[in-house]
Amino acid sequence: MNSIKLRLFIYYCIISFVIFGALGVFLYFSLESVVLKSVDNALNTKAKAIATLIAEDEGINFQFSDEILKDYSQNSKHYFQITQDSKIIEKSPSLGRYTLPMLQSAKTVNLRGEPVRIVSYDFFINKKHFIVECAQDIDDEIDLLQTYLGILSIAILVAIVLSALGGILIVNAMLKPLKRISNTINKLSESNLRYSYIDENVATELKPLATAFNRTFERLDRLFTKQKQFIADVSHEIKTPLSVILMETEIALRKQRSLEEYKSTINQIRESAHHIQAIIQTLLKMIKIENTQLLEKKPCDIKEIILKSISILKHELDKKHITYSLEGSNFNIEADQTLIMEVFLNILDNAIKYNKEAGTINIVISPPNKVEIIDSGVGIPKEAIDKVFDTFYRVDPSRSKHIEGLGLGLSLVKEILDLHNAKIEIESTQNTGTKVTITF
Amino acid sequence: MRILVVEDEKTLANLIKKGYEEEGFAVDVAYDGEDGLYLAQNNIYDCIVLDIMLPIIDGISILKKLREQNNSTPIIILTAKDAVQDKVLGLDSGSDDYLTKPFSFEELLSRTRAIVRRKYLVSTPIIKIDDLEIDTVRKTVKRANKLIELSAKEYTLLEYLALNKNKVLSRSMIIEHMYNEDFDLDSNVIDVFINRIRNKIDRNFGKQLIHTVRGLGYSLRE
Repeated sequence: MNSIKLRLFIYYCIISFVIFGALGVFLYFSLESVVLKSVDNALNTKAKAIATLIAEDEGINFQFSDEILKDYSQNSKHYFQITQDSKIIEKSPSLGRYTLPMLQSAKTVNLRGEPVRIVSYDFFINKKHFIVECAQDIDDEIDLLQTYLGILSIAILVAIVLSALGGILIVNAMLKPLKRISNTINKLSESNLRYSYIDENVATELKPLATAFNRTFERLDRLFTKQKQFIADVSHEIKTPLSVILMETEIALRKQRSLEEYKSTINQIRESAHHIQAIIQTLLKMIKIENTQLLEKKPCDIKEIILKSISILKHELDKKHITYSLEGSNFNIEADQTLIMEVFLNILDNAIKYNKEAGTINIVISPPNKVEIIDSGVGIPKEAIDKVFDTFYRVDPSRSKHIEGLGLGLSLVKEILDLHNAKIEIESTQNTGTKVTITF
Repeated sequence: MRILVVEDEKTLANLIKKGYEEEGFAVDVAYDGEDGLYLAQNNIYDCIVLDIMLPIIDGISILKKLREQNNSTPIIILTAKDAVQDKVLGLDSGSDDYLTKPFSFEELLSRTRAIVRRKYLVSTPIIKIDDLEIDTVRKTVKRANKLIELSAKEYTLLEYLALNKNKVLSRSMIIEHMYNEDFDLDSNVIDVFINRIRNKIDRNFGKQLIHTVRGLGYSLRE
């Protein structure tokens, strides 16, 4: 299963198992050595006592007092055995027919199926080699160690479980902010985007995530709002020509009309349909530009683009008897030629449309990156300048009958220039003219 | 019936005017908010059709200004804005009705008639005075169940008298109601119309319904 929680839990268990296991093993063996050492010490003392007795008799006679032998009676759990030059010369009654093995150091062996601890002590009397071995049943000690081992194992298991549970708690606490983030994202919809916010007061490690999400929310909200506004603008714009078509047909059908009236109705409907068509075409163009991620940028000759745009608009220029001039030296830009041409077509088109009869248009190219277009038109009122880039904005809507246009041009221009990191500025004096400055 | 249409889209404004005029209404048109407000303040209309997005002064401001000045002329908002909050804002600012573009002219017409009836406190489209019956939808007039043929202007005048039954209407009130401001008529024209209507609805029937109030004007009463 691919769960952070489960994995963290497993790691936690493994780590605590290793730590507590090692601790348990260490504790067990250290207790064992403590117990055996104390047994060994006691046995050593006894062996030394026996050795002293033997030394007192100079190794000839082995008469041990009853006091001592009482400890090693037949049913005692204590044993001794005395060896002289590898020959057993005396052993305790408790050993019966058994003998103790010869050992170099203290050791635990099996005697009659019971664990027995043996300690040996060797010495010389008159160049005779004596070894005294003392032994003791240690089943009680082994039992004690077994019990201790049992308790220790249970304690370690409990400790592992407890620390694992603690681990789950910690993991949960760590994952809580993530859960909050995912909850917020889960509840996300286009309508509550504006109010969606992840508390950025979280752990340092999670802060970049929260900040990134919040920024994404903002961006998406702006995008959605823009799109909603765009759709609202479009539907609003289409409603007017649609209303005209509906009115024309309804009124025409109310009663018998003359041929002339029918003709004028049909003409009006055609005009409205053309209007709708133009709106849709411009919209499609805008959508296409907005969707263009990769521009076909290549070096273009700015003067060439402007001259081409002018030649396309030649008919309109002549119709209004407008004269134009092109000044300044040339420069090149890295741009998508068709789109930049669209920019100049739109700006020049506006300069012609809103110009007076026999007006002028001056185009000044100033290297390295500036183009100014100055017309002698009606100008734009101060309060309207900021709004001219809004979709569908027209300075005076009632002028729509006289001047063909959709109010989409300048928002399209702005969109294209934004894509090229270029700037557009408009200065205008009413009834004198407008100056448009583009800086690439 | 005199109506003011405030709409910046000239083609549409002129079409609405044409439609209303063919229905016998007198129509003034304003293409921007300033003209619209001026006309509304200086003339008496039976109904104002008002767009919201207008040059110079927007529709909602016009509406609020008129209501502030205690002008209670019925107002129908006619706009492309169709969001609920726009409708609420429009109605709460004092409009009587709200119609969104694109609209059906028939609907605008029937809503206009309904609003005008409400203005004159008439609840049905058929106004009855004694045995005279005026159908404001079909624009037909009957007396004693006999259909009477009237010209468009004659009908308009009779309907106006009927909507204001038992009240005295002056000649200038009648002129302002019947003609838009392009006409500058002598009030004697009204006397001519009244005579023609009398000949058609009163002469051959026993009881006289149209009364002349000397020095004041005319009145239609039982």
